[in-house]
Amino acid sequence: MSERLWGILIDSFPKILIPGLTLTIPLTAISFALAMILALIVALIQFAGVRFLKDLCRFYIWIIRGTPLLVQLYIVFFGLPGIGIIIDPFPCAILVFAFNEGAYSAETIRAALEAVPRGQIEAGYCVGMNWFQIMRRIVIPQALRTAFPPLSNSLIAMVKDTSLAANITVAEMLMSTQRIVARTYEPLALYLEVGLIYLLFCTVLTKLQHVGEQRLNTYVAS
Amino acid sequence: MSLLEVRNLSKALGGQTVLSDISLSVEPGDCVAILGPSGVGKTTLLRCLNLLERADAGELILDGVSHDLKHIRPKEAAAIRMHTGFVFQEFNLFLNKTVLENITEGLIVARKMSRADAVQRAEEVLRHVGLLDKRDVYPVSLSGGQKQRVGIARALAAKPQILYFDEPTSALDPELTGEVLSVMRDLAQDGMTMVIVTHEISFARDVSNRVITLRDGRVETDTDTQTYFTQKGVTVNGDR
Repeated sequence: MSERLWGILIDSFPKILIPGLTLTIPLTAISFALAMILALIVALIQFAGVRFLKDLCRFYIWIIRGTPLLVQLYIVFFGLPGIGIIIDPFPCAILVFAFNEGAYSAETIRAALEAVPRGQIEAGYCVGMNWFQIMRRIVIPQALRTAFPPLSNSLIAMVKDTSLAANITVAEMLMSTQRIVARTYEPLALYLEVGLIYLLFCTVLTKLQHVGEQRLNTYVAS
Repeated sequence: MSLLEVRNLSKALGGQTVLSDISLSVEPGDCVAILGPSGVGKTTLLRCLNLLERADAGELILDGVSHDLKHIRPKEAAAIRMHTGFVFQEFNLFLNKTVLENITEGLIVARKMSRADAVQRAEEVLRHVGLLDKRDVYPVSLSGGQKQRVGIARALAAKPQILYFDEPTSALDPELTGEVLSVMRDLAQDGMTMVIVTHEISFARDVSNRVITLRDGRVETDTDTQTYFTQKGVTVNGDR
């Protein structure tokens, strides 16, 4: 490899990594945290079978899952200003990612809630607990263990999906790379480089998933 | 006055009548065995009494308070369960809680007992069923018999006025039923009011003071244990 190329790669590394640390990671972390709250609420409403709200949840999931993430980003960022709603790129990305992921994760969590044996809930009633207490102390903790691997999947997917935010002018890792490519004309090396940084982030998350799973498994390993 | 009285309880499941017009009463200190062939509705009856199933009709009078079983509200159901304990065939121990927490959970969360008092009470009932040394393990590492003894300890912890047992030994290996039955025998001797759905005929004969049998969703016999087994001329050889 030429000395010039090495120079470009080394020079560009912090220029790509820093937006990764200041934009990609916060964007993922905040969006995913909000998505989890939303998903848990949506899943619990369906699990409890709350009449009208349940239909609303199904509608939300139907819309979100049936349309591309990129289209959702465009509608909110480029479309809504047309009716006077203007949101800055970063909060706009958070909003769209959170609502998008919330719909998918709601289904993951609902499945995990339904996998908790019915007898656990009945036992909770029989010791005097009410529905909310049973959910909080018995069912959700057990469902979390089931949902943890697929939710980790979603988190890892989201790290990479944040690159779509480049399309709405969020200068995250991919956009920073595109700018350097435009200047240096080294697409192969630079896109490989940014790919490696994504891989690095996801490797850390994979390790964390492993640690998390072991913690959550304390009560099943005899 | 009866501790528990049920009047005209009926229940259908999937369009088929399971229980029709069941009436019975339980006096303080009674140990009532509910017998009958499988599928006759014994478990459904017990579950209706503790509001795990909603009866289609009927009245439940517990400790002098009357409840309309068809229109019971969650709060009312919770209030009834404050007086009862329930032991499941499948144990249903909280899998994510230790043995001790299985017992303290309801006391702290539902009955607003202080943690210290709850732990003390839990240790007391665990000692009673001989499992104090297992207080910090998770249910997964217990044998079936141990699980059920924890189940009994959990039901007992809140000092219920009446304890329901739904086939407490049916999910156990035959060699493990003894330890559970012996705990139940002790409870009966201590004067605990118990309603037991069981297939353990000899246990029913030895421990209960009343026998209720169901047939076709109705009460077939309701009599004291001695009369029941004398009249039947009973063959206890068939059971294990």
